[in-house]
Amino acid sequence: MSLVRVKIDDEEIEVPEGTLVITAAEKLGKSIPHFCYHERLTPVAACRLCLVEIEGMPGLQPSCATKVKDGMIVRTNTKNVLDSHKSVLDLVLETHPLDCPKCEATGRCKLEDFTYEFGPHRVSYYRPPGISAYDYEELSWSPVLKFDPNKCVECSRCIRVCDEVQDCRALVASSRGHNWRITTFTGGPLHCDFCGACASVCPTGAIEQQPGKFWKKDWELEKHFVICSHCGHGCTLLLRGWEGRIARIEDDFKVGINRANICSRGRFGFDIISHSSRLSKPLLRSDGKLVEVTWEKALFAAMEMITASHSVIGLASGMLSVEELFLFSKLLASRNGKKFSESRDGDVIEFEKKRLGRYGSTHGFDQLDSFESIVLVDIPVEELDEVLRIDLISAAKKSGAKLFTAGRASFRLKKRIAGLFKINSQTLASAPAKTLFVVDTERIEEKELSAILEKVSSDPFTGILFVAAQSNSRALSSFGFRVLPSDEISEVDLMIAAGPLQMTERPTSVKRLIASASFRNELVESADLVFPAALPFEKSGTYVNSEGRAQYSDIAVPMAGESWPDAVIWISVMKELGEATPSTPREILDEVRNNHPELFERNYPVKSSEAEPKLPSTRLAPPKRHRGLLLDKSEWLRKLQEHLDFSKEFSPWF
Amino acid sequence: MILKSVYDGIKGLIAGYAVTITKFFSRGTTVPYPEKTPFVSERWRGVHGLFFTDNRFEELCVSCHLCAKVCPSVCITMEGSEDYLQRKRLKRFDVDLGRCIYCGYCEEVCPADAIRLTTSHDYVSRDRENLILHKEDLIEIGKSAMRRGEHGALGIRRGDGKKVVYQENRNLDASFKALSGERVKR
Repeated sequence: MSLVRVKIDDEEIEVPEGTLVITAAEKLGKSIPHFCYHERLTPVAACRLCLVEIEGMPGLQPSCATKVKDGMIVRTNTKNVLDSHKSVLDLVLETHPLDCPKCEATGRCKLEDFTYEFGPHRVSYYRPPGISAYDYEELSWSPVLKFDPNKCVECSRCIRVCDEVQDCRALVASSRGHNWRITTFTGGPLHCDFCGACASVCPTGAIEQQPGKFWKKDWELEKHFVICSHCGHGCTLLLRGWEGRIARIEDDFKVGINRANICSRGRFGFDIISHSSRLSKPLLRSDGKLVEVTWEKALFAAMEMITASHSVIGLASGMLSVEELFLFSKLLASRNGKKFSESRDGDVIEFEKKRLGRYGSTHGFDQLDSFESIVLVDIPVEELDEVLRIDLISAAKKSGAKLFTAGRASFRLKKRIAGLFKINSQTLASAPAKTLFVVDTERIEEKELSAILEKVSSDPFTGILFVAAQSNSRALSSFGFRVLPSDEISEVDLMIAAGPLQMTERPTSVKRLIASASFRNELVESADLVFPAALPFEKSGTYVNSEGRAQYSDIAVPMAGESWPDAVIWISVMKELGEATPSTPREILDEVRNNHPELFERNYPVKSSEAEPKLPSTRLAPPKRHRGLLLDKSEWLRKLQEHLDFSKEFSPWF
Repeated sequence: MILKSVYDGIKGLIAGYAVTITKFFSRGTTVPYPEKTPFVSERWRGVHGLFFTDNRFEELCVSCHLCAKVCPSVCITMEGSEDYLQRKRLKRFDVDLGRCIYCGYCEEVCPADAIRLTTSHDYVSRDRENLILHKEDLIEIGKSAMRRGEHGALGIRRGDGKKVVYQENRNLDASFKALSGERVKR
């Protein structure tokens, strides 16, 4: 692509051909006000706020829809241009309610910023205070999203992000002219996944997230990047919080592999860390009842239980970090314990290693558009990895990659599917060249997998992408965790369960059970000793995602109650047993790197290379005061019920 | 000469005692403090109070966080929440009097006239912890200031936004009740 020279306000810059004027100006550090322009969306030039003067063109031109040409001379600060900004903002403010102190968006509102910089400091069209031009009612679109039509500046960003990026089309525009409004398809509540992308791109406070609403102002919230732990994609979330509490989760286009795409679980699921069933103290069974005990007593009891039992097995969750899985496998190895997990990921990757001699996915999420066809093998993508669905759509749009499904179809991708395969080894082997197979590790059969791997090994342009169900299940294979067979656990003295598990009750053949868990559930109720474990935002660690990228996530919020991270729990148990163990975070990470280099093979720029990783110290921090994060639960349920009633009223098929 | 000087001495003595005796019988300027509270102007910048609105006894504060933003000594910490009518309301409001410099900016910036500096000036404590006033304490201070009739019209606004004019000899409690919609016998 050739470069062209543009002159913007007497400053010259070289940009690639086809760049928009507003992007070129941004590179020079000039701020042109805009509402409808967004770097991820197609330009529509609807708001007329970004008008600039271009020499040789009549009148003022929208800089968000004009592409640069060689020798173009642009002026952004003439009186004519500044007057146009001012009058457009004046017209917007005519219908906008002027209740900024009460508005949730204050501090991040584009209208507020641009009015401060360019706009009329006194509106020309006077309205008595408290009276808005429109008197629309605030609409509750869902329990997590609310829409105030009075604050809408009609930029249509939400409609475009819903259509172009999310491929959902839950939001539409209705009517014309002065009555132009954004509505849902039915006019009532939203029928979508509530991903919250519309609230994220809204330049004003028209669409707002409900959780965390009105808690704090934007300028009072700190920023912290963490890795999401809800699925195997490894998205980067931007936590906004204060005093160790999370108010909201935002996205950042420039940070992370997810390119500002976050699913509803990631965006609104942060309230689990203040759930009412969180464990705060170690529990020990005495006289058939679980009793709260101190950490010293619990660790001593664990030591007694482990030394007394002859056969030990361990059950690890794929949601633990690499460091924690390593320490847990070290503990099991010291007692000759068998390692199990609930995920089939370890077995599948091991099978691949035997056949191909390599670990994990061959291609990453950012290489999807280099393939001509993508075959989804028996995988409902939106259930396992919602952000991968968005990536697949953007790849199909960008490079024209054709999507095929084999086996179970993906409902949300239905419109984009070019063809269907029958799922068997022959049809998979006859897939066209330059194909990427997207595989669900929990469901793939051995026959089909071997057919795919044969094709991958024979054709260098064919790739395979294993979609992991949990945030770190890709790392299970390296530490030797295999799927738990239903018949093999016969007559075991002790089972140690680490991390969040789907198992609901302890197997009858297990005599004793030690569990580390964050919530009080059925498995915890049947255990003999329970350690309260910290949740992902409360601890640090490395996570390896579906494509094999190791990413480091730091501590964001204080631990609930007296809970410890799993790493600290297993280090303490090993010290109690008298085993040698690495004790500092740096030592743990170095040992993992030396013993399992394949986990860090895909050497992407991760955060851990920049700074010394901060793993939680092995000493218990003083318990910090922990308040409830979300709204009161009863209030939440009431809102949900209201929403359901509202839905019934408006849509007959809800 | 001697007589002259004696005369002058006595004259001076009488003049001096005259001042003393007049001051002795005149009204004092000092106040016996703990027994009697001194008079301070209504514009005195004392301890903060949270004020209330019209007859429904509702908080005026809309939780806009402007007082916390403008405070030069960063002594105000606040959190908001959504109330049952889905309005923005105050959940937590802490003022650290140990940090406060009583500049009155918070009062000035408040768009709802919710936080006002009252005339109460004798807030002392042996413990620094007690110098942090919470929302409930500030409401109490505000209520007592309203009863005293500070800040013009009792610090009370009617539903139509007009302030009630404060009158010197009016029964404050009666007018307070009248505003709250109760019938008062006069």
